[in-house]
Amino acid sequence: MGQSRLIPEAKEETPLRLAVEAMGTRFELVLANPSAKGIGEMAIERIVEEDARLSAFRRDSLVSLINRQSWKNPVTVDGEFMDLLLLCEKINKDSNGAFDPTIGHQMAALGFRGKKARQKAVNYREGIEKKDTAVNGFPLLHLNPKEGTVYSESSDLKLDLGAVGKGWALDMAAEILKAEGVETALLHGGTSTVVALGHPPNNPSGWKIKTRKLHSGSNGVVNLRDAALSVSACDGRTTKYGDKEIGHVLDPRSGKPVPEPRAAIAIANSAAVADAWSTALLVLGEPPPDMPLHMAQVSSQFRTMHKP
Amino acid sequence: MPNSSRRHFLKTTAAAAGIASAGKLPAVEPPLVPSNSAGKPAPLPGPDEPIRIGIIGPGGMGTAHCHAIMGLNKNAREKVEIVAVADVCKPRLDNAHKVCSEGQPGITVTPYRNYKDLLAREDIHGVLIASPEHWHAQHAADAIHAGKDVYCEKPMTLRLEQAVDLRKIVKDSDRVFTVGTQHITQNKYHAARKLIREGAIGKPVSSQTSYCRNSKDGEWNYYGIDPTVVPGPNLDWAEWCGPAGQAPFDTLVYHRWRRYRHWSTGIIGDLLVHQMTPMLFTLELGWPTRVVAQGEHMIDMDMENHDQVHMAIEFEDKHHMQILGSTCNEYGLEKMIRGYKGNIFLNSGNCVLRPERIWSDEIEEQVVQCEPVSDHDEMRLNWLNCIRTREEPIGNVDLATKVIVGVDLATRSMWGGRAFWFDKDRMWASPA
Repeated sequence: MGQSRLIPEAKEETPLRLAVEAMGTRFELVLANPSAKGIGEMAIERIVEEDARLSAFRRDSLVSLINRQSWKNPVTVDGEFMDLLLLCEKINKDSNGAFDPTIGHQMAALGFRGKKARQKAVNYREGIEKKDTAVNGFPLLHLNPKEGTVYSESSDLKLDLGAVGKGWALDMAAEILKAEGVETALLHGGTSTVVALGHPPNNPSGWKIKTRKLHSGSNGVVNLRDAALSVSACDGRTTKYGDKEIGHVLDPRSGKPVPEPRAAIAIANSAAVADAWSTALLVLGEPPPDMPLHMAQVSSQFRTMHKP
Repeated sequence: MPNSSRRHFLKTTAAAAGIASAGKLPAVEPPLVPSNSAGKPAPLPGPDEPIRIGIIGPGGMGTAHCHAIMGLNKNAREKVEIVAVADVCKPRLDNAHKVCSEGQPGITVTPYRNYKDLLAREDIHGVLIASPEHWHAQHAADAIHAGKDVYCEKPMTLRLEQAVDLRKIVKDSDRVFTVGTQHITQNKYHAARKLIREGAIGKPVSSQTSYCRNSKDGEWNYYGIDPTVVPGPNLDWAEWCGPAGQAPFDTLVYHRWRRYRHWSTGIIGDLLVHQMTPMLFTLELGWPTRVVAQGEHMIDMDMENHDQVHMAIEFEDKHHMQILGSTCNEYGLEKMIRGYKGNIFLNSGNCVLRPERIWSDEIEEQVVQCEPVSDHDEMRLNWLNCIRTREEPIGNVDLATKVIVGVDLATRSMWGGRAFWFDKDRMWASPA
């Protein structure tokens, strides 16, 4: 045995960072205890699996299967995926349609899915407008939790879980960490949705998350502890529409881009809930007066902000 | 061939393979003999009675098991109680005792410095073994001898001889035994197994899988050094060395034993068994017949074990498997099975079947959507359920022994520079 080996000095452990590219963005996991690397990798692997299930861009994903077949026959889904759809249904209803994960066709109509998809989607939307049907598509998706099936009234309806999928994947990963006894960790997807487990040793208030300044007087720092936070803003991805440059967040009720400048933050016990609500709040511009706040699930800290 | 001559033969072959000239001859294991005579099986738990378990070696992984098992009970997925923990390291034992006591109000959790005292308890149904690799075989053999059902962390054993002996001990007993290679509970592998059984890809001719990760500071160096853990009141170092033979204390070895050749097979035993096991399970393969492997120190020159490995296994069923492992690059091989008529892709959570071009008229491409599972919990639940039903768990001893044949022969091949045969009738290895 190498007794002469240099033995590292005892020092405070440096947090371990693991990262993976998924859902078109970078997910990162910070573990306060680096010894939990194996558990962290299980959590990261789960994010990759959720990407494969939820992606609207992968032919072998569950979402693509629903988009291809659910208008012909009800598609059987697993219980966990049904839970996600039921959550979407609830937030769609509570936000009066401001959150709608069936806007795939609308995104396509604006050119976010390529030229071919755009023309098809434009035809679809014009058809809807002629029929004077609500643009809000989620009510056309019928969930049957008892049978575990999903059925769509329209072949053109495209499920796109982009506004909730990151949060859902983070929730699933956080569940693995918690189940295996990891008490202190931070996970984020693309820096816009973050889950905090416990708090770092030097700050009992929680993990310091730097966000956009919500209003004058705010320092833009949120202490997050055993909670999730999500930020949505209009200034991310854009596309050319006519001669205009438009943002990637749509108002599902009108099919038009949300006007800039605007940003919203939602804090909740679940990253999926925070993710979905930050999008809904961005669309709404302000919390709806009759919004039930998801009871205990969403704290009262959600709000929109207007850039100065 | 009696044990003594078999072991002499193994020793001879190891030397012939040039391992001796590499500086260190891996220990030729003495016969695995259960050393504990105390303890007897607890009466089977009734339907409403909790399963009582003990944890041997609650370090990093063992403590994670403690949390998760308490979670299974808390979430009403299984009635189970951790009633005892055992470790040669006092700080680890104290921590596990605290975690389990606080997490299970009203339940007495007893800490033991010597695992034999835990095994002597006659109220314990099963033990979960999460000790270092070099102790797995002895802990498992003693636990079975003491009438306990066993969940053994992977790899099942450090060396082939131990696996062969432990397999016999398990088979000669009526104990429930599983090895915790949790990926085999993932639905995609079950879906692929069904498709292969149905002939969807014809004869499976080859397969590939991998486990690759990267690390700035050297793999397993993220396990911190606790300067208070030195031989004395805090650590029974002689007991820690145990079946691997006595060695001078080395804190790096104690805290990061996976990096050292005498105590671990490194990437192969620690990481690749996770990927090999579900492939063997999916393909329902027989015994490996020949193994050849490459190993190299690419980046991490301080690690005794290799940081880049590549192994190829031939099976008696006429199937070839290649496995890549790395701790200096994170891009692995696509997980897939190649058949005469089609191919199965397993990189995502789903099982994807694509026909070979010449069979595309007969075979449809299909995606079997698979519900993700918390595979670690499924593995624990499978074992706990089998304690009640007395059925054979999914990570059974035959499957685990086949995996260890691959691990051990690949290790010999990497260090010795040549291929190794495995004779399933005599259960021994020889250089090709």
